[in-house]
Amino acid sequence: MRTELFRILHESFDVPSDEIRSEKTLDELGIDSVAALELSEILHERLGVSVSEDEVSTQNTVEQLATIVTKKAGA
Amino acid sequence: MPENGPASITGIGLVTPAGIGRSSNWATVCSGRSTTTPLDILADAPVGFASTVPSTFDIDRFTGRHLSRQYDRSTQFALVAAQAALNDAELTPTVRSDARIAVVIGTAFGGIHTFEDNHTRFHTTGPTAVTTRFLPKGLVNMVSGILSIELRATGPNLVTSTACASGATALGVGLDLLRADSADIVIAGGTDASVTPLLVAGFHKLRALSRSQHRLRQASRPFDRDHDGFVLAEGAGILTLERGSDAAQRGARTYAKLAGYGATADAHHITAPHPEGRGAKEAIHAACRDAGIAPGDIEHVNAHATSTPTGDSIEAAVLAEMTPNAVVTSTKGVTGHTMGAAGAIEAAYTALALSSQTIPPVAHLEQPCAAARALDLVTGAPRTGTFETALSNSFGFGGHNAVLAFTRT
Repeated sequence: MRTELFRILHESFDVPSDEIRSEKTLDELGIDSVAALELSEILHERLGVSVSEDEVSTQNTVEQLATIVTKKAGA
Repeated sequence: MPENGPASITGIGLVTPAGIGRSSNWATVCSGRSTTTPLDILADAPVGFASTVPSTFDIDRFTGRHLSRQYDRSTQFALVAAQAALNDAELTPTVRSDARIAVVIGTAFGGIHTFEDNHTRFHTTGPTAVTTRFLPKGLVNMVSGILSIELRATGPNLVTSTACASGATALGVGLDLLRADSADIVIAGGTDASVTPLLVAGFHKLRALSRSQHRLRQASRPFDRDHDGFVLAEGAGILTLERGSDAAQRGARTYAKLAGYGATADAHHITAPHPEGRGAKEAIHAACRDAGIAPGDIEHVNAHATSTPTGDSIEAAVLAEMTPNAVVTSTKGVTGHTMGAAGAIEAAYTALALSSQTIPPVAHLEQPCAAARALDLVTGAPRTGTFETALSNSFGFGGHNAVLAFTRT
């Protein structure tokens, strides 16, 4: 799941691969509020996971989001 | 720069059916080769052919980034063309770091692909299927906004929309911004990703499109007696404009000078030009006056001529009366009609004609229509000679007329 999230951040949001690290917040990766909404949309389309606006908060780290998505995908 | 002084055209970026890049465009336009092809996406449309940007166009490959999902196709064309123009002008980030950079982009349809896609989603699946990026991708102003972000251009930033004159209007407004000292560098041009089944259906209803399916490679034949409508096309043309003194100071190459701009409205009809070309004549007068050139001294005209019987004939009569000494071409025989991009793409071709002293032919012109017989049209092969002055005409639905005047460097 983490790999898939990394790929989405790179391919859909143009975040350079070498900048994507678990401890970075979405905001630090240049994901603004509009991009965060879009990320939620892509996660739903590709992984069938519904995440709320709060869960894709730009202050969340990649790790926090990956944990949420993993938990929901397994539920 | 004097109040009405010319601007130096220092960079040209082109993404058109005639090629991606300045050199490939010029080679194709001078060859007179058709770019019209049948298209699968138009299989159910009333006209099944158009001229599209080569399928090798891939913004992700050009930029090394993942932008194809983020930006509408029209913005992708403009961004690649703008970056190409800046590279061509050697306006590196360092050179332009202290400059006030304006962006003025003409477009008739803005993010039409994004609108169509989201409209389909809305009607097939419902409002939840509308994408988050629908409006940031689709709004008509976003192309200039996105260019400002991508190119760090923080000066005046706007979109002009005068239908098929939009790209020429953008360059005219860009010239005015330099003259008003509102910017040091202007990135100006036009873009439209207008080849969609919906637009084909709309233009077909207006009887504006060629229906020459049986000889579609010759379907776009401006000024020909068998012209029967235009071939829908897409693309972008972006130019960099600078004050002559600034260009000279940094040793920049100048293709030609943009010396004048004339804009008028027919105030006559929603789609048809004024039968005597009233607004077109006034725009030619205004552009020539602005450039300090008498219309009779114009030596080359890149005509708007889209290959429609009415439009071609009226423009031909206007040119025969006003610019009797001009060598005339219409490059739409090769490119088709790129809508809001056309005026900018043709401004680039006009600048290239002056810099190379070569005028491309009107592709597929065999026998001129009655009104065009009085014109000195380039047919067959390109014409070489000495050309010091030129006009590029652009006209749009709504009665918009935009004429640009150029002088040789």
